[in-house]
Amino acid sequence: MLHLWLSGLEGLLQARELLFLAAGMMMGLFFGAIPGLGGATALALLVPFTYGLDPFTALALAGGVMGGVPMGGSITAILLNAPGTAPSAATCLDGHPLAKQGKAGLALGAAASANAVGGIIGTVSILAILPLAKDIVMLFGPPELFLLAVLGLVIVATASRGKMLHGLISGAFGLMISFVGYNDVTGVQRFTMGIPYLWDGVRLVPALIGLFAVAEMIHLSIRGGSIASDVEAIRITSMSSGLLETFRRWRTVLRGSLIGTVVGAIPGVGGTVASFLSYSMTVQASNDPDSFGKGNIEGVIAPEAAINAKDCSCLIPTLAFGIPGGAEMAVFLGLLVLHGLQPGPLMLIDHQVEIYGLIWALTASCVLASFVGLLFVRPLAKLTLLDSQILVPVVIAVALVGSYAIDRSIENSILTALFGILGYLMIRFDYPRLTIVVALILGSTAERNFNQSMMMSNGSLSIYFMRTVCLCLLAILVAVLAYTVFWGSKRPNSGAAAREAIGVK
Amino acid sequence: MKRFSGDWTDAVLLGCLLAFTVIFLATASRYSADARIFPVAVSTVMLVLLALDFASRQETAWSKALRTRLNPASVLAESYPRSKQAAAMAWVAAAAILFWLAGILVAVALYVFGSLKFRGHRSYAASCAVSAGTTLAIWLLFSVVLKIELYRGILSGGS
Repeated sequence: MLHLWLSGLEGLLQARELLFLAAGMMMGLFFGAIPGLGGATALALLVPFTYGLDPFTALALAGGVMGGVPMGGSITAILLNAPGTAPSAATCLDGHPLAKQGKAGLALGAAASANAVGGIIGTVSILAILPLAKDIVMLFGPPELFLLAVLGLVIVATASRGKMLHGLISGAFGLMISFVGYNDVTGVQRFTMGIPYLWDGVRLVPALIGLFAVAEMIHLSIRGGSIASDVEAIRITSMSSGLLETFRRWRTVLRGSLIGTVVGAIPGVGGTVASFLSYSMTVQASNDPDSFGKGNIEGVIAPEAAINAKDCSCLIPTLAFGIPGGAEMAVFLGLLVLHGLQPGPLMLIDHQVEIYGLIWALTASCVLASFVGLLFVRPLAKLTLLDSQILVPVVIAVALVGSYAIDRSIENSILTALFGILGYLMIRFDYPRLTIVVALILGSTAERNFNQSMMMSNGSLSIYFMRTVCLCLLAILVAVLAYTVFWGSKRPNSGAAAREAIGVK
Repeated sequence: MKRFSGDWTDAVLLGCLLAFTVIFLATASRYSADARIFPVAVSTVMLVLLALDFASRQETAWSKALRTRLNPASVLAESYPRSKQAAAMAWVAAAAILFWLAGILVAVALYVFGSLKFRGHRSYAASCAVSAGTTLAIWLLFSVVLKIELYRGILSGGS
């Protein structure tokens, strides 16, 4: 095991990989700081540019982006009450009041060190869990993999709190799209409408660029304006005491990191739940709960530690089962597929060095971004002054060209535009986009494993009731659906309410 | 059932999804048994889900109960003018068509200029400057650095 850790680290410690890691981290900080962009958009725009890179370098670049985004989001959350990413919304609750009290440096320093420590704790957790995950996935055959794909879709659909029906509809819609093209079990072309471009199916990466980058730009162009108006008035002092504050509040950091690790490993739940859960549990555990929301430094440390710890543990369902933990991981799956790394049980066995390299890249990026972010606080805050009317056409143009560049096909650009419009309609009508992405990724896997299961059982569905792991998965499936229908709708959506309170979507 | 509780655009969306599913199901039924079993199963599930969504949008007591169980928090995201939303989507569609017809570099220049001038109401000078800068950056990055031959558009003989 140790030699795999070291091989991953050794692979990362090459000049080329470090350069790409640093470039990714800067891009992550940049995109994280601009509300409305975030990690999914950054990765979606980046994927085509990784086409010529070897997989390890591409993973270093992606790890850099994913590690940099949270810190970028925290800076604007604290200084301007405009979280660059949704999970950073929890940081606004106490971070911005601290900034208004003239303690922006304290909050930024604490956020940076909590980010770094959270990332390290997340890494330690995933390094401990990964060998166990490898043993578990070996128990999965075609029937289990089929049920797992269905379970993944249902969990992601139901995890969109209060949108279960819409989540399931977008999942079914995504599955239908995933059936387009050559079917590798029967060898027939389906639903291609005579269009040769569709013979290989709906291409995943152009679709992802559309669903995330273009759709967000359409949304931003409709919202209009710039995010903030006065960055010059911000005063930043005493960052070093903020850095130390995290270590004085080690219980809060540990609690937040563990919450982030556990929540991150649940598909579809995402960073926003992790950060708000960590925040609310810190309030509950505090001797002075009334001070939260008015500038309590623990209200900054708790969500920040959870956000970065979550990023590492999100990799477990993403890599082991191909079920992304969130939108960012969904786009990351597209990057893996583009580089011939098929997520799923075999990935944990065949590409261990790449996985450990990615984990190191993510950790290094979390730590580096925390401190580099502090050096660029003011320029990053100024990004929020960018006018959306300028930003939108430039990003859309780059997205369409990037999509073309994947395999020099202009149809990719058209597909990206179509999925961009579809993505915006999904935002507009409140249909979760993550489910459609999961369906696009898992559709062919589900169908292939279903057909193989049927061959194994001579066409009998009883195979799903005669295997222990299948029965466990079916029980979880029924429990998730029953919980969501009978109890889930009764619980208030505290995360959404809190985001609404500070005006964050 | 008394009446549909949502906006008329919700009804249009449900209608479109229903039409798509019915066409999908009809197409799937033409394939061999092995090739159609999974698509037919998924589209049948989709029909059930659409029926539940439609039912949950009625103004009756049981519809409200259904809504509470299945989709309690589902609301329209924001209420922007429809013309503004349609225009934003039309600009993206126009960009894709322009890419296909005129080729990448010409399309980028025209699209960025048009967006800034006619949607963003910027001056000619600012629109030209951003448009030229974006086109140049894309040419440098893709053509010069990445050595990718950029599509020339069907009007210029691209294929």
